Amino acid sequence: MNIKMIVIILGAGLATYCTRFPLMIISGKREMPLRLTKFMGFIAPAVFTSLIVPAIFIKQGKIDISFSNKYIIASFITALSAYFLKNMLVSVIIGICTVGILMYIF
Amino acid sequence: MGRFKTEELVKGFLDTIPLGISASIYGLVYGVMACKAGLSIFETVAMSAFVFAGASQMTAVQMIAIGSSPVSVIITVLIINLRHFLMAASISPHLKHESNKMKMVNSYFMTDESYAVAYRHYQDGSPTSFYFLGSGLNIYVLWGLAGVIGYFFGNIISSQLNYIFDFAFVAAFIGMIVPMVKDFPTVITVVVSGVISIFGSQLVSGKWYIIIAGILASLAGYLVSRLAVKDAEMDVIKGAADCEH
Repeated sequence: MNIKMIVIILGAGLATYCTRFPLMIISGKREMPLRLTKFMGFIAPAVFTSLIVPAIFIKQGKIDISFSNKYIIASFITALSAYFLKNMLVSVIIGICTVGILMYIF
Repeated sequence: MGRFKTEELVKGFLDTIPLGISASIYGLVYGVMACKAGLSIFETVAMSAFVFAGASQMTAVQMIAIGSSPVSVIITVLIINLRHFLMAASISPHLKHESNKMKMVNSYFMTDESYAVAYRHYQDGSPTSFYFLGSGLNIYVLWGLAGVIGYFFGNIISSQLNYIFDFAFVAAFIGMIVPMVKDFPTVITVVVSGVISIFGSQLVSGKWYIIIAGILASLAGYLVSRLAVKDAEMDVIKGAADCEH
């Protein structure tokens, strides 16, 4: 295991624990401020989107919006399956199969 | 720490099995991702053992795969996990009578799933930290095992098929984002994040665009939700004014 991975694993572990314990120890009787709660609700969709959108649209360092970019159509189909079937594993399988089929056809 | 309450521990563990199974499905996907990102089996397990947070581990693995710096990975994980503050604040009043030591242990094993199970249990039972711990251990064990199984599954997939299986990353995150998009402010969040991340990935060096887009897009979503609240308040005031006529 290289030093970079050790830093990431221990650092991410420590960071995560630091979000878990403080408010467990200080048993506050008051609720968290509503504004903060609301803001936090947007963090996950925001970060997840910023992770995958470049992975979908950027190929070899350039923005690629064309038919040869199979990830675009596959993402659309995956999103539809996630919306209607509400099952993550099924969506992943459908998404992977879509990319495979598109590669076979084109 | 008080007396060790095995019964409560076991009850917590058993009550969490249904959610544990659904967590293992994510664990499988995490394992495949970790393998495809080039982590060793040891690193894959170590991350589950030390970080023990599903979405953050998948995010970290994806960031490692695209060559992000350790600092940016750690900050992103921290941001994603800020929601733990909410969960801890909501469950800690139930555990006021427990020792700090036990609370520190409970914190380590707190996940979305164990929080949900324990919180519901505490509504009509006597809250004990051992129940919460049992619930957390269930997720800990199943999540860790599922990661290992996923890793070996990822290992048997030929690297010639990498273009296809790299899409598992994208599909897994789409599978997590879509159920979150329930209102207009979240739609704005996703769109803003998508636009900023595309241009950011071209303009900003390193992988800092992930954090920049993450923060700016959540702000955008929050501001839009505030506007929506103001509009609703205005409607109420107008409605009240109409009634007076």
